[in-house]
Amino acid sequence: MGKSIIKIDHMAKIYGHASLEVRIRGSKVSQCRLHIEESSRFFERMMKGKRFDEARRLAPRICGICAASHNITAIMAVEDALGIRPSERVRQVREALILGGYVQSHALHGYFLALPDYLGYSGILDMADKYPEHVDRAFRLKRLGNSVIEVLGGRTTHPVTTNVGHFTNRPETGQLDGLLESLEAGLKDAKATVRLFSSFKSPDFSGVRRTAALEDGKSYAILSGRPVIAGRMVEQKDFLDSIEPEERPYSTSRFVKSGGREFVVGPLARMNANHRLLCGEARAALKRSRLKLPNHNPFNANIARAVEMVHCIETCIDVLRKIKKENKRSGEPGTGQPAAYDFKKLGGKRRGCAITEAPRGMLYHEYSVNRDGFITDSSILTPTAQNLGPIESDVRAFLPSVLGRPRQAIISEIEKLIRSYDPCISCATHFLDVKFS
Amino acid sequence: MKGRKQTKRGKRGSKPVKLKAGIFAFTCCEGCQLQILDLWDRLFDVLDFVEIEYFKLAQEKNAIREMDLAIVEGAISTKDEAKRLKEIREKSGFLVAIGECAASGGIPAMRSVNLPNFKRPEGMLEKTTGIGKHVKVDYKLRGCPIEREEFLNLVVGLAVGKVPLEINEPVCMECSNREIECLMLKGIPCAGPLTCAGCNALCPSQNTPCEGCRGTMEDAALEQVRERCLEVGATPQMVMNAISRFSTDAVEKTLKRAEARGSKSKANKPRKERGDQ
Repeated sequence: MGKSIIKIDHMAKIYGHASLEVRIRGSKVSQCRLHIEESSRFFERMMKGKRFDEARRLAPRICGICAASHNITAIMAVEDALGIRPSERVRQVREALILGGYVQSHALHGYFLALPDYLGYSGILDMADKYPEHVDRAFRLKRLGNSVIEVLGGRTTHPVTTNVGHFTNRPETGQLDGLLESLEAGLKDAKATVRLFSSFKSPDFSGVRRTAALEDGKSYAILSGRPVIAGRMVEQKDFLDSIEPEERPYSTSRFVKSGGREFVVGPLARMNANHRLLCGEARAALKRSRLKLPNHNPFNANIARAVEMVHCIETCIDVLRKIKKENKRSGEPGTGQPAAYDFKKLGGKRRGCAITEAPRGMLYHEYSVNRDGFITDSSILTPTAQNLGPIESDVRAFLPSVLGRPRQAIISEIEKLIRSYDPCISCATHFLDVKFS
Repeated sequence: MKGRKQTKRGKRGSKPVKLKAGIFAFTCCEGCQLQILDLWDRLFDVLDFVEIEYFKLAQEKNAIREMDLAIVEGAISTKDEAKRLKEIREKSGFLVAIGECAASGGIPAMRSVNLPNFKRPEGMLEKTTGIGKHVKVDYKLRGCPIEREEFLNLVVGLAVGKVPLEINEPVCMECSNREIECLMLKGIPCAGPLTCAGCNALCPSQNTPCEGCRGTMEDAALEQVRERCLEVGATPQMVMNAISRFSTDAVEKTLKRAEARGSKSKANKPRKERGDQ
């Protein structure tokens, strides 16, 4: 094999627009580039001049898939800036909302994007005749995740009831009962998903070994804790400083490194860090899946996602039961009044940040708010932006092991690898530096 | 119109002819395509009379060929996108803009207001706009994100040769239908009086002011609503925030015109605004 070029244009079944170009000389990869072709939307600049409570409306529009995560993270960052402390219950409901987002995002990725690769189909819609049970389960899980967001957040894609300091509307017991019922049924589906994905054989491969996730030592950290990058814990507010951005001419998104080296975020990173703190059923499912931890094989992220689904459903059930109990104790919840904040009186440090674990990894939002309550500056770092480097490196490292195969097979293996990261390109492309002329 | 000819075919036969369709995405969050997947089992009902030839988010094999129906999501922000969009238009009979980004530019279009003079990356257009600025659009499905039911209605309608009416009345109508207490009266600036209805007052029903996600109505009384918001205690900046989230273009123009005229008149306060008071 002499020189050859493999190019995957406008890759399908990922969110957003990206292409991959690999140059091969002999049995060596001489160049591997992930071209990010998504056009920038400049969200960080758009936030400027908006009132503090606008961030929650604009941020979810960054990504239609993990809208709930962007929404909550933006709110938490603004709260940090203004020194507002929401109640523990608000925090729990927010976590349940995000976990609902996990269920729908993981179901979408697992069944709609990844599974057709493993079963040899173009897309899930073609699988309906041969694999009706998988397709039905896919839709059931997707719907379950959506209903969690809809009941708690008011709308499936861009939540509306979440607000700085509180929820504007709270679900009634009737709604909660229905949701609890489907969550309990969904647990079975999630476990079946773990079985399904652990039945596929992952290629023997070890990718980028440095992983990063939130850790709080008490729970499977989603909204709390501090980021730990390759074993080094940093404060949330120092997160951005511990990371070096890198411009690459072929990409509209920046790549990032920490300490000069790449790191991976996402389900496998979370699992490596916190698997002991998973809920009971999820821990059992993890054990049955025979996934060895710590694990650095990106293909196994699919299994990790399925296990997380079990955990999410369990946690949601727990939180919803708590809300129900409280409803019973203190009567049906009324709707909260939009709070009027007196900015002159609020302490706060005016510049605040928040990190949460979004379905694809750590999501960072930072806002500065002035005396009148308007945003003067913002930074957003999405999980996919952190994963772009590792995706490139992994493709480079993985390719030699499949080079002997026919061209189409090589392409399909690479696509599987890239998809296992569940990259969300539309998310990754907003922090392109804007240079003013 | 090419599209009408195509869709009529389905009307004549007893069994609808399968429409060839493509689903395309430009600058957006892909949330609207997600709504299509979220039709769940009903998606398969749609597939009885629609054949999807291009849907990059959901299938590996995609081809841009002659098609009856193009469903386009996202705003146009680069020269490349504009070129691809034109190609899609040429090959399609009926072209639908789904979601506010495609319909009016939506949130990505905000860049033309927020970043008036920055050095654009190569290939980026001066303004990010809805697809209507580049090609003829046959139908707009509004909203951020779109309402799934509306999408279903449209596709089923097209298959039997009917196009649903586009709504042009404010969200206030739906608020009064549902007897939701007016937020504006509580002193909260709300984009409801300006915004196309169709969501069944989703946000106000959850005690959240309308964010205007279905775009500003063509004959919206922008200036009057702005004054009303100021009266209930909002600052001018808050009002701009509230009414400029979506349809940046319309708001920009109207406010400029208002300033030029120095208009302070409250003479023709629109009825629809009073509707829910």
